[in-house]
Amino acid sequence: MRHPTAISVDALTVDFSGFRALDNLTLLAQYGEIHGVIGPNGAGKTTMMDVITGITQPTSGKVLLDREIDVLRMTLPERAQAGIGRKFQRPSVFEQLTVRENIALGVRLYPDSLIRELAFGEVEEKSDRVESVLKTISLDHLGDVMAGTLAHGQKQWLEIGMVLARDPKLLMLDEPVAGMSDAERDATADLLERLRSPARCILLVEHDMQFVGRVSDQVSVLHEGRLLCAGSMDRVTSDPEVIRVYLGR
Amino acid sequence: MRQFILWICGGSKIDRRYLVVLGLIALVTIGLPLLGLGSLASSPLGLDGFQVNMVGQVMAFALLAMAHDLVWGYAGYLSLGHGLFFAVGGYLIGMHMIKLSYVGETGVPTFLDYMGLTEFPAYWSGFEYFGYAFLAVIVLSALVSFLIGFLAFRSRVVGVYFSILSQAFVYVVMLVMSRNDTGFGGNNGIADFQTLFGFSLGSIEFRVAIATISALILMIALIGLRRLTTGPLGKLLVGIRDDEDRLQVLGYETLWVKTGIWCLSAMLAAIAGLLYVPQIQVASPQLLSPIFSIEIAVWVAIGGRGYLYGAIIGAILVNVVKFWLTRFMPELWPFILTGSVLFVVVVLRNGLMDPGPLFTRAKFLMSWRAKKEKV
Amino acid sequence: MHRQYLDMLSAIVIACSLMFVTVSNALAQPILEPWDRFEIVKVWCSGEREARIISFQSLLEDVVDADAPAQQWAANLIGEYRDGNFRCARDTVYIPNDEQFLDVITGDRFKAIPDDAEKPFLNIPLRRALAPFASAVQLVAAEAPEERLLAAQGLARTLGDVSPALIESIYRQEKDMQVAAALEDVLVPAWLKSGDTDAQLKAISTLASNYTRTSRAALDKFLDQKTENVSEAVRTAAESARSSVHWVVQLSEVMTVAYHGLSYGSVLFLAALGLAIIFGLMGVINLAQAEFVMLGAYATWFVQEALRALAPGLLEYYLFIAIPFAFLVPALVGAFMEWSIVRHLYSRPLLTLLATWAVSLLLINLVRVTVGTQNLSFFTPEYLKSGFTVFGEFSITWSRLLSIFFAGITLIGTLFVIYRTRFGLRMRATTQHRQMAGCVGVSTRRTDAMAFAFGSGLAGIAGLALSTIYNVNPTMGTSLIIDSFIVVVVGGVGSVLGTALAALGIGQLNAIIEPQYGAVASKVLVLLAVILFIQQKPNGLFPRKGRR
Repeated sequence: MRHPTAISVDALTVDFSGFRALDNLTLLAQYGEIHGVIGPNGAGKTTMMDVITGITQPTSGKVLLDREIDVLRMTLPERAQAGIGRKFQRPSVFEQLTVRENIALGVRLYPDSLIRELAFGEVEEKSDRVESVLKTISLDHLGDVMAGTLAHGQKQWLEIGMVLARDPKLLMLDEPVAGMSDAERDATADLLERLRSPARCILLVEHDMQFVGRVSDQVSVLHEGRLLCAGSMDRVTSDPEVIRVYLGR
Repeated sequence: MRQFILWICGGSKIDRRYLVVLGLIALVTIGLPLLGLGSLASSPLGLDGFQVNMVGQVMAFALLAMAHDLVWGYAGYLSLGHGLFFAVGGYLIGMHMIKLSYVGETGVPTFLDYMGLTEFPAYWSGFEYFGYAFLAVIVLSALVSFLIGFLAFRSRVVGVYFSILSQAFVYVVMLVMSRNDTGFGGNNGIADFQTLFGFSLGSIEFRVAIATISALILMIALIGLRRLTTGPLGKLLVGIRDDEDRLQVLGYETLWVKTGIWCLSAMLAAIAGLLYVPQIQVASPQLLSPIFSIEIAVWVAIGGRGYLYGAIIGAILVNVVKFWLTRFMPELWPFILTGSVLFVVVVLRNGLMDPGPLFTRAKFLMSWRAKKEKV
Repeated sequence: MHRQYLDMLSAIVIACSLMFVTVSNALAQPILEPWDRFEIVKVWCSGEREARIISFQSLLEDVVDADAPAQQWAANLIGEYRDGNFRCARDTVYIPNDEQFLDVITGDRFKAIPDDAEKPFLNIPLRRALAPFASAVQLVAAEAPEERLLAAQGLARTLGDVSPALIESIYRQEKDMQVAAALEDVLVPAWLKSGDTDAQLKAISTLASNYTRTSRAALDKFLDQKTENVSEAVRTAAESARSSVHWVVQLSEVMTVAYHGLSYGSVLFLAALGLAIIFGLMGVINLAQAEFVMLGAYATWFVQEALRALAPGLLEYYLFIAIPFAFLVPALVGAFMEWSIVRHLYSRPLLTLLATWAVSLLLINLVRVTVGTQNLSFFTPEYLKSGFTVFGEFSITWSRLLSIFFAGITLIGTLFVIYRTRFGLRMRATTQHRQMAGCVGVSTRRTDAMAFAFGSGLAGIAGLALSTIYNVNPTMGTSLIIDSFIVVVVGGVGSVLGTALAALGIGQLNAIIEPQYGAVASKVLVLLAVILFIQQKPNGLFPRKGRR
């Protein structure tokens, strides 16, 4: 039985030699929802994602998947295996591989055994999954193109595709529409709608308020490493504290 | 037939350059016995013992270079200490050959006698069997490389740090092995081998045999590594080189991939050493010289990394030139080496396999000239 | 008949007058030079070893009773003999004196001497036996206390066959404090053996004031013997003397290790600093850094040779005159190297490694082909010779102190340049954020070139300091390179203070391990220690702050 809370961040603190990036942060996100994470620069959004994926070690606090799996004890690959997927802030695709090969890397036929994967996981066997992901991210016409030659927006989608290939429980997207045109933004919003699923929780870090309002069910506002306010977009944008922090009044 | 060629190339494309190099090595494998021992041996094309020996040494170096390319060209780590694994293979086969010459006899070779020993120490036992020695080569090289690699990769030692640390390692081991009381002949190393597999080391039969075997092993290794790197592992390695963090967050235990490749490379390097030492008939700390380890990287750099056959070409080219120059104009060699490295690194972006920048520069110069002439 | 009487009378008169002359001569000359000069030089020139030693002995005995001029003569003679200045001729000996030659027997001066005058043969055992006698004679004869002091110190080193009783009698009459103290050192062994309590106590207190290993060894030997000869009071005195000497000796040994560590660390710091700056700024490891050190040392040598030829009066100060040259030559070579090679390889640090290695090989071979592979000889200025003892076994040598001095100046100078000059500001900006620095108008190209030159110049200064301690030849840098990298790795990329601390630490580690276990073991252990350290702190002591 899956617990409705996908990810719970509990009293998380991160100190960078004198600079406190996260200060007793608490955050909850549920399955089936798209959960926006917003806040001014330096609020700790990316740091929080770094802790969840394992790139940064917290000073104290807990992160639990499904309210029972202690994520912090696991190595980076183990967390991915447990179902955590993340798209980085800067598009991080493998420029020397084709679009298909990038996505294929995301597909694990044998998630538990690297050796079996290397021995038996030929690209051909993965092709069904790869094709379906390609369709989802609308890059099926660019399958054999070198990832390095893609446009910025396309790279963002490709990266989402790579992460998607593993069918993650928790999909974390760090600024997916940064630097995109309006049309691309619309396409991304559609993509996110397609990705919504009762077995998946999507955490979305974004600066574009409109976009966040458009796609999110719930929103958490971070400020100086702490949770300022959480709730629906309307509720949060009318909160006086949030207004003060964002607009300085 | 086409199926067979595709299978050899690995993947789905026919790579012509690869096939040419492979063909070259196959030619050597067949040519050596013919020209050295067989019917053509006495013809003008025939090769004498010295030439056969030279070819065999170069084959061993080519294998070593390929092993190095596996780690540098594919995983992105520049090892400046690969001589360490080369020496493991070399010293262990030396131990086997020494033990062979003492089968059924008492006494010890001079370098042990010098230490006051009257019997071979315990760790020498078993080396009179080739099988045991071969196993020791594989196991020891894997062990040593595992230790170094695991520690380094786990602590996220990358880039230049890794390179310098690998230099430091081989340097320190060289210092230790150069001491007389380490028990391996100190600066002079171990020598006085006479036979291997019943052949006298200096005989033309043996020389042809070992050179041919070296070429054969090189060929098999090339095909094997080619298939390995065009498969899923190859993609993974590209990913590690490009953006290792991304790969880890995608769920890949890159630590094991890197360590695995590193150990494979070490074992191949050790096999190269095993093929080399019987050809030069001495196993000495020269194999551990830090400069030699850097030269290995130079072979790969000049040939072009990331192709496997590039490393082979580089190793062959550099060593043939070196052999020739040190015979006729030894003073010139360091300058030629220096010049080649600088040219390859600065002008050609990736060695001889990627002469692109040279052509773009040449084309640019030619079009510039044409423009001037038009005016 | 008359004739015979006359003859006899004249014979008697002649005989008597001869006797008179002889006797009066003998009486007129007091027995204040109780030896035969000719006999002495004859034995010293060609006698058997035994005979010569007996001669030394009897000369010593006689010289005590001789008058001042005779003592002087004896002292001079034995001194010249010891120094190898004898030219033995058939019936006398000449010694060179102020462009002329002195006849030792008559005291006459000659412009030239017979061709067959040759040096007597003194083998090593004879020389060894001779030295104490020479000192003893000079001790007796010398007027000035300084000379007696020197003689006493010589005897303290070896007493040889000289009789302690003689020294004892000289000691009792000695008025000068310093000489008396030196003589006490000479007499200690005899006093300890004597069995007389007062003498033994005196010996012990003399030993107690010398905080040296030899003193401690002597006390140990004394304490080891059986108790019958030694009274309680003496034994207790000896034991307490021993423990205080031991404590001071140990302390001074610790200080010596610390001092050696400091000086080696200084050398490492100088060699590694340029590397750290270049690496921190450009991510470039310059494998040719060691050769820049070598270039600095060679530049120093050239300055020395130039001074020798053109301004010999300034030769003493060649080290200081050479500073700008030792800095500029490698700096210019480095700037050229940066412009022609490194500049093209900024985004590819691994290839830079290979390229700089090629340059290092090139530099070594260029120097080898032009100047040669031999060690260069350096003139040692007065202020660098020897050193002084601080206490116990801890002494400071001036040449090591110089390298510490250079390191200190370089540290302060570099910190100043980096943190207080515009150039340093530009360097720091480019290090922290290259693109942004470019955007605000910092010419990153120029900064890189100048920083590279600066780092290379620093290496040249290291070469200058090294030339006073180590051999200078084309490959002098190669053993330094790995140590320098380890220092940079441990200290943290680009951090001047980190480099200083790491150099100090590694220098100390080396100084502690090497005397006990040898150079190879020290390299192995340092490498292991560094690997363990890297596990804990993969970015060094002072890593660059900031995220990711």
